[in-house]
Amino acid sequence: MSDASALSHEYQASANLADELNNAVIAIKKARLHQRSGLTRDQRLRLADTLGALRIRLSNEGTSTAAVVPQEVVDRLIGRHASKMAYFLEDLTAATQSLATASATVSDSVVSLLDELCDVADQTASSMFRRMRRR
Amino acid sequence: MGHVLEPLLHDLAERFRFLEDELGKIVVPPEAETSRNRIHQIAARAKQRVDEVLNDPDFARPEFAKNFYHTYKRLSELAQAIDEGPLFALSRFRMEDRFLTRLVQAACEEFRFPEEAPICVAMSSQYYCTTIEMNLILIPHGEATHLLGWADLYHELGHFIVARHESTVLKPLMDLVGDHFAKAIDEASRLGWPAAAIEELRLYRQLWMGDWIVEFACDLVATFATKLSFAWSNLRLCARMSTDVFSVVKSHPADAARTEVILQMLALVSDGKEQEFVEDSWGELLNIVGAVEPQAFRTAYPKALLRNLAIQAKRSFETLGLKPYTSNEDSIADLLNEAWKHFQSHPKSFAQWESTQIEGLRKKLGLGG
Repeated sequence: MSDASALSHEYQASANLADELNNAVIAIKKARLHQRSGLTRDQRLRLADTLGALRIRLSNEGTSTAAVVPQEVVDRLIGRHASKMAYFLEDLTAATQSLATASATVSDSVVSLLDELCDVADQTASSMFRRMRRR
Repeated sequence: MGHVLEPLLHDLAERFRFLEDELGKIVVPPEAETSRNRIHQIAARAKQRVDEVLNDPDFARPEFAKNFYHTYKRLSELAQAIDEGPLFALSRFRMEDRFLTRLVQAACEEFRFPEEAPICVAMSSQYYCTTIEMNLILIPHGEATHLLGWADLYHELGHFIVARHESTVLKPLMDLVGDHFAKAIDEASRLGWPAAAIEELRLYRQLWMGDWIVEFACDLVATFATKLSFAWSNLRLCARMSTDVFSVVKSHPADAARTEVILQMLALVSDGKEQEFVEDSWGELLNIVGAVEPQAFRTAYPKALLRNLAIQAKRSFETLGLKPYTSNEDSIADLLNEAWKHFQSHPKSFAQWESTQIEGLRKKLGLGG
């Protein structure tokens, strides 16, 4: 009933997203560095699904994926890319397609995009955590 | 980066060692043991994760610095959340908390809550609130002996359901909201609405997709599980705490909109008379406070959207296997509905009745005598 419960929900959602993205990026970077396999097919598809959901939320088109993206993550990305959103959506589409294709190597641009999404999810989770404690 | 992060991670490892040790030492009553054990394991796994990062051969590489920093932050938040939440609660777990935890467990069984029941402690300074990741509900000290607000426990249980069953519960509701506002914005653009009015629609969509939809979903869970008692509890809370029942606040939907969605669910799960009774009382309260519905209210909270949310939520709850409230089953929800009936018909003698009922419930839950 209090704001704390809503914040706890938002924190949990954004911390889970931040963890999911961060763990995926670590695995991808390690695979590229040590030339070994990174994410499994299922992990790639799940990551592609998350990016697809994010794209849908940013473009306000369609409602098809199962992943739920915290609103503050969406707001922060809009804040960062408002003036060049069309390009950012293109990058997201390309990254989603690349991850959904099991054989495709993960390019520098996809890693760089995932790193940015990690930053945004991390900032959201941290901000929620602090707001829960009213600091 | 590795140099800055390394001592911080050692500090964090020490923190988790402490938490693990404390959680291992605490002796709690049986109703809190599952929770203690669960949090103990979470602390142990987190400690292991810190060690893994410290021993990672790529730890000092600059390209991983930010990623390991993010890992550090999430784990630090976890350590703080365990310390301030379950460890604090479990190390001071009193008889009142045993009673509340058993009460919540019984309520969860009755409406087939699809998760491990959380523990509930009477040490909140923020009314009823939930820490989802810690499986913990906090309520104010006095609530353990006053049952008119207990329907709000079901709202808090709703937060766990919504967070852990997003694709079944939250996603379909968000889709309804998204569709509604996409159409509304298209229509407004086509009709040449002023830019500010269209921007307002975008703002409402943003607020709905943030905290509002979660609060509505939790209200719908509580109404589905308790029917009238949650509606009355909501009305009492509005009377006690509302400044403007129609106002738009970022973190919570307007009280009037929440009341309306509760009424929509009541219309689906109870007979019309019950719904009318609440509606009449709500109308009376609006008259007393002199609240008038502003024009923008229906733009933010369209009636059809609220009705469709209730219909979809009921469908999702049934898919999850939640059991709607049915009377005369000697359940906790029954007690709450009886309490509200008694309170409304005998407000002066209610305290005595309430005290007797709570004493009886303590015995029924195995804590009497």
